[in-house]
Amino acid sequence: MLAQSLALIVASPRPKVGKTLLARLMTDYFRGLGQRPVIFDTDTYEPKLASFFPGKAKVIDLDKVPGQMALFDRLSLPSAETRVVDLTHRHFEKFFELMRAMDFATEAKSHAVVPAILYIAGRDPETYERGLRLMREFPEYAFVLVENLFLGEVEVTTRVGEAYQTFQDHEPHMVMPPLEPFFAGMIDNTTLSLAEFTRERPAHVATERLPLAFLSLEARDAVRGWVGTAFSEIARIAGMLKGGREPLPYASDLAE
Amino acid sequence: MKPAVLIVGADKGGVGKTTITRTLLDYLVKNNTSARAFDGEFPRGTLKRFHPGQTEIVNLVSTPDQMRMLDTLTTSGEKVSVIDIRAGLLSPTLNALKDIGFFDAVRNDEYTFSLFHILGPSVSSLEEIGEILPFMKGGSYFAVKNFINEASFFDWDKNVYDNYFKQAKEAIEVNIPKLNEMACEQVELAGVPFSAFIKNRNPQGQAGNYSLVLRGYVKTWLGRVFDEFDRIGLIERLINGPGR
Repeated sequence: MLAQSLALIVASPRPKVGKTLLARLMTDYFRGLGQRPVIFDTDTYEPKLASFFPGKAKVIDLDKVPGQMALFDRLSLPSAETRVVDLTHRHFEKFFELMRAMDFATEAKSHAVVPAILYIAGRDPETYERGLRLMREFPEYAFVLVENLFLGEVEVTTRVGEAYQTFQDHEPHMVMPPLEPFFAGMIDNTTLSLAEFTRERPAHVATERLPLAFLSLEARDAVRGWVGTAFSEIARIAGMLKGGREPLPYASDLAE
Repeated sequence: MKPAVLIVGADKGGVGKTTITRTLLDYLVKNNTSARAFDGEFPRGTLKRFHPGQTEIVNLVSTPDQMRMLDTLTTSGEKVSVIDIRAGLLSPTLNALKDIGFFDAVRNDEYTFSLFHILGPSVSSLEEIGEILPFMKGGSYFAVKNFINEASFFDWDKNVYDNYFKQAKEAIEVNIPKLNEMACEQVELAGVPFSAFIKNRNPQGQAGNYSLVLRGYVKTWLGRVFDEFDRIGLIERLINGPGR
């Protein structure tokens, strides 16, 4: 029997809700575990995820058939690799329409690929309603509702909506911890691995040679705490999806 | 039921006769209607490559081959005989059938007869309609507009088009939608029925290695073609004739 592998689709019909950030966190999480996740950036105008992983991310044009093949054929491949898709809001509808047309779920199942939609909700009521519809349209997929706390509180009209209420008891439910806007700008550095923050260095390594040396101690602590929380959430969700427990990057370093 | 003869043809070449014949064979299987096929691309064969188990290559102008097709209509046990006519041979074949007395037998309710006339994007293709209509008494005449290969196909002058169709009041229009070129190509290379391609089966019946995306396109397209065949009541017409 094939080992299960994850196809993680980060999606939202809204721009600027943290899709690329979550895709990047997950990629760094798996890379921190020593894995080589396959990553897809579907934003050909502004391939931001790809800028963090130059030469490693595949930039996909979903408007063209070769692009669709490069994405979906690889996404459904029977192999152990974890796959991460950063789905631009511009192609939100098209992506799922294609998945339905090709009956991706059946193919994925026969290849032991577990497709999971990580749906980042905006703050408005429609975004929860769309999420609920999406979840019901694809009952074979794992549906992870993601709340990005960086976006602040949901609107009052959202809170009273039926869709929002329905999601309150939904699992898996993932929380992206908030990060002070002041520090958020600092992690935009494209050469920076977020997993680096969770790594403890032996005392004899000169501090100025560490990859994070350009950050103040305060910034490093703030970002480290944030990354740590986010990774714990990713580990918890990945564990739920695969039906087991997933480790944290560099957990063994910390134990030493 | 009466044996049914379904001819797929056009005098012009390159209009997609064999492609449409392939969709018909898949459609008949889906509707539990047993069929055999004759491939008129003598001696090479095109249809046979995709449906080898049920296809015979025939020389349409040879009397022994005509006998192989027509004398066995009742005895073969298959409900439908689909004949894919080679380019240029539609009128000669219909003339031969007339000489044999086939159309008299159709009028006597011994067989049902249907013609899928595949139209190309030219006036000469429309002119064929007038030549073919006299053979269609007692049969079902389907005027098939094939959009498979070209996106902007039938955008001729609407008046010209309507004039040709005026003479063919009994004609049933069939529209075959466009199939993505890459998907079309991969099925050609695979050399399997569309239905097998969708299920990712190679000619030996084992798991194929076809693109999931292209299979998705073929599945959607074939679904639309089948919807079109449902709309025109194809099975009913094959079984019971045009209903006079």
